[in-house]
Amino acid sequence: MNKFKILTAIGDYMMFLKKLFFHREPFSVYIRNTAHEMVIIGVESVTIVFIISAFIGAVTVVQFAYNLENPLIPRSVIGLIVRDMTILELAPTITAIVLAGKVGSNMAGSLGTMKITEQIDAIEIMGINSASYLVLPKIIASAFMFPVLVTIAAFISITGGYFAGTISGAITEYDYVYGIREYFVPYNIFFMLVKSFVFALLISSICSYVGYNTKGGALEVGRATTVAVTNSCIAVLCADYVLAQILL
Amino acid sequence: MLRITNISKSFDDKNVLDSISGEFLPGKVNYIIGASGSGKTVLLKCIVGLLKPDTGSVFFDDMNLVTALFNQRKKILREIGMLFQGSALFDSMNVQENILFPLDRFSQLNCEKKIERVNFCLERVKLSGSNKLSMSELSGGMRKRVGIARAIALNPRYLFCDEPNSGLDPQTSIVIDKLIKEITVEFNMTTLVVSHDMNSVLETGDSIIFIHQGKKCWEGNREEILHSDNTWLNEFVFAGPHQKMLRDKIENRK
Ligand SMILES: Nc1ncnc2c1ncn2[C@@H]1O[C@H](COP(=O)(O)OP(=O)(O)O)[C@@H](O)[C@H]1O
Ligand SMILES: [Mg+2]
Repeated sequence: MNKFKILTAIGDYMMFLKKLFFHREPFSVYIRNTAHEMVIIGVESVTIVFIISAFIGAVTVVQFAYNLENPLIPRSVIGLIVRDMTILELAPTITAIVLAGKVGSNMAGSLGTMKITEQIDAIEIMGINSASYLVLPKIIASAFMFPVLVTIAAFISITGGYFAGTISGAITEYDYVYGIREYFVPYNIFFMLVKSFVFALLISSICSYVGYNTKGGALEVGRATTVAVTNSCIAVLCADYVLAQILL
Repeated sequence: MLRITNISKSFDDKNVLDSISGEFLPGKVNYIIGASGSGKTVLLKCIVGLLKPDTGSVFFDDMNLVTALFNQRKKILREIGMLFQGSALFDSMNVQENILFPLDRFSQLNCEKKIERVNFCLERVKLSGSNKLSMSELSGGMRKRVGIARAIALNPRYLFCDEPNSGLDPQTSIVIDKLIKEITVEFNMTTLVVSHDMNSVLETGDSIIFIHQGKKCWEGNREEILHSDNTWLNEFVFAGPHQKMLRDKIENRK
């Protein structure tokens, strides 16, 4: 039994995803709920994404400037490195991890509480597909908002790098702007958006699945939240690697 | 009319319900009683379709909910109202939004009529004017009453209550019991109450089923329950020394 535990869980997860799309509620119901979730997931996360990405950009610039003492390498390389690292890896992945902690834990916690206080049963007894009604809006809203947040994160991070670099005197304004425009590959932006979209699906569905299947009491809700966040972070990092292999 | 036949349910290796049958009539408050952990909630959830029984059928009129297809099932569920043990109110919404929830989903009424219906239900549970209260502002008794108001919002033909007065003081319990009774008679609903509170049973129980360790052990009305010679039932009904004294008095008078 124990040997197949992971397989059972994955199968269960798949069944859960299937349940989201069968016997759905009318379309209009989802629109309102999705808009509501977009506010929770997107708008309310802008501040934390803003702060974290500004600092990551700043730190990246300062550390690379410190490592780049070789006079043969032009200083503008710093801008280039910050740009590529941000777009390819830092913005999508760090944002996803942060959102797993903020948004994902919220999903798991609120669904878990609804489960143990029988609110999900109360929805189910009205003949509503509770999984679809509660979870699908979260997934759709995430799929829309994550790419937006990641784009904001990338922009803020590069801007943060600009300020850190110029204020500390590590790089001139001209070099930095020259660097971030040098050898720019638009495909990387596409890669960033694909990544954030996939991360959104993974985080929202895993956290919802774990929360929705909570059994027991308050203690288990706390535990479910932890499990949801850890598992979705692992899934994000695995997907990060797989996507890099496939798309680059 | 609601009829259940041979309902059994087990979790993993644990047998919780063993072949329970019964019939529940409209306009009556039907009780299912039993000790904590005897499987009452599981039975109720099997009846309303939240759990799938291993064997047996649940007939709403002539439709079997256990084998019903999705659309049939939906039709039956529209006729069901349920009050959960912890009230199960949506805590992200206020009182009015809670009661509006089923109305918004399933009634064809316009906005004004829906609010009218909400106010009617609130008045029926003696909570008029508390439309805008949030869940954290409600006491236990009020939560139960809002739960009842939400359950009757769509004018159901069947009302299910899981321990409607658990966690309430004796006075509030009686208010809730009376409320359930009145509503049942007024709208001619088939009401099924799960409880372990003997006061309510003796107060409002029209027909009673006693469950012991997952088996139906006894069936009757509230007159008969005091004079039964079923050992398990007597142990349940006359649990404390006061009740035992009471029984001796009853026996002596006979
Ligand atoms: N989902 C479940 N999984 C496993 N066991 C359960 C589940 N639900 C209830 N049980 C078991 O069934 C028994 C009856 O529970 P319940 O119907 O809640 O009792 P009560 O009569 O107090 O309402 C309990 O022993 C409980 O452990
Ligand atoms: Mg119970």
